[in-house]
Amino acid sequence: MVDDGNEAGTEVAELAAAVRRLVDLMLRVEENDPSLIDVISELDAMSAELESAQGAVDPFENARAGKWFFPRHDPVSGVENALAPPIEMEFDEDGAARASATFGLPYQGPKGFVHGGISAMVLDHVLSVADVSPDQPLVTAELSFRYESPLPLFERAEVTAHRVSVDGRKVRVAGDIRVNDRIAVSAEGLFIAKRLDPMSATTTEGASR
Amino acid sequence: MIEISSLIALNSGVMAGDRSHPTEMSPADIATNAVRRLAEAVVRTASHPRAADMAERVNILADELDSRAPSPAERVETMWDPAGGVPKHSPVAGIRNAVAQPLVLRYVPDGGVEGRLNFGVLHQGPPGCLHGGVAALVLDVALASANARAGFPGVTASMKIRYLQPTPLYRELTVVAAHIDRDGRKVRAWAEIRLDGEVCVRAEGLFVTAREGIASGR
Repeated sequence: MVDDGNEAGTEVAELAAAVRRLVDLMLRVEENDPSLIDVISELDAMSAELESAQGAVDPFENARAGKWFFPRHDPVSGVENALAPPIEMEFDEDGAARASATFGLPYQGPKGFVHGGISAMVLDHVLSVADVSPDQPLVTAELSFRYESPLPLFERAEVTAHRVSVDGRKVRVAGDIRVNDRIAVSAEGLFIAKRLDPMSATTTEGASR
Repeated sequence: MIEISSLIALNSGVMAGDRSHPTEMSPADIATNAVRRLAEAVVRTASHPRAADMAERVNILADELDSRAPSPAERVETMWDPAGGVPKHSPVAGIRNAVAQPLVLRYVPDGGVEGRLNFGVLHQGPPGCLHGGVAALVLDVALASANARAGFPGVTASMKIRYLQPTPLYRELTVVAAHIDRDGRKVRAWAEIRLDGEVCVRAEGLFVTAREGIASGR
């Protein structure tokens, strides 16, 4: 079992959850709602206050802040990222990854259904953390997706991924997204285990997490 | 099951042509940019003495907006422009969707589509790099757009993605895509995310057109 470092309920995560509500609301509010003018100035004031407490943009800051492998900031499971659904991750005893999420309006593709690219994004994420240990991060080399049935919005989707085979540093992982036990999208991935290297947590090696 | 009208709107809307004269932004569009900015400020915050107060205030603002807004299920029915206009709600191209770093794909003379993107920490996977899943999301849309541009809008049947080198954040990236061929209702396209002309991520997609969708073209 892996400590994912996500102690839910911190203040920054609560703030991100509140902002996540606004992401959804922007897709529902009346386009010219006059109250939005005050909302804009309040949000900008908060942004300015948070930004003034930060230094210059440092793309590596989250990596330096702690374990990047199960970050709180990623766009899929990150509780501090208001753009993430976020999916909730768990790991079985055998290391298989399980996640669930309910996708709302921001993730819509065809009318009433989850965007195919969002399904791919979520599967990429869950496949890449299946069967990993923090001292052996995997780098995505290749992913393939098959779209088998539409994935409806507003219904609980279950995502699973498990390791299929290991051949040297090549690791094959398979997984799928289902709603009510029906497969919507299935995926297979080829990952390369990074060489064990004390600097590995702070390098930029790898094209995916 | 999937309405072809919404599909065409989705796939054609990202190709709004030359947007050198952007349309005027509505209060909701401007508010969405404010939400994007706040989301980035929050994700970059490790801790802040006023974070809990801000969360409470944002929840009050959200409650007020929610009390006047249609439910998500109701909104699904009304958010699609029957004229097939630019989908402001797309998670890749939509200016009203804070999830999107709005992508504008333009026609290029040789038949494909092309756009520019620059991602920040909200879309980070490995340290300093674009999340591989976000790359997949963008490439899916680029593939669909290339097929739509060729006259064959469709839904994704399968997609294969190769990650060739890390895609950095805070750099200008190019997204390029083109239709390959068609066999009945099956249409294929390729798409790439490039940095300074070098391919970072490459995708190939097999799409299926709706039976009645072929004639309507783009």
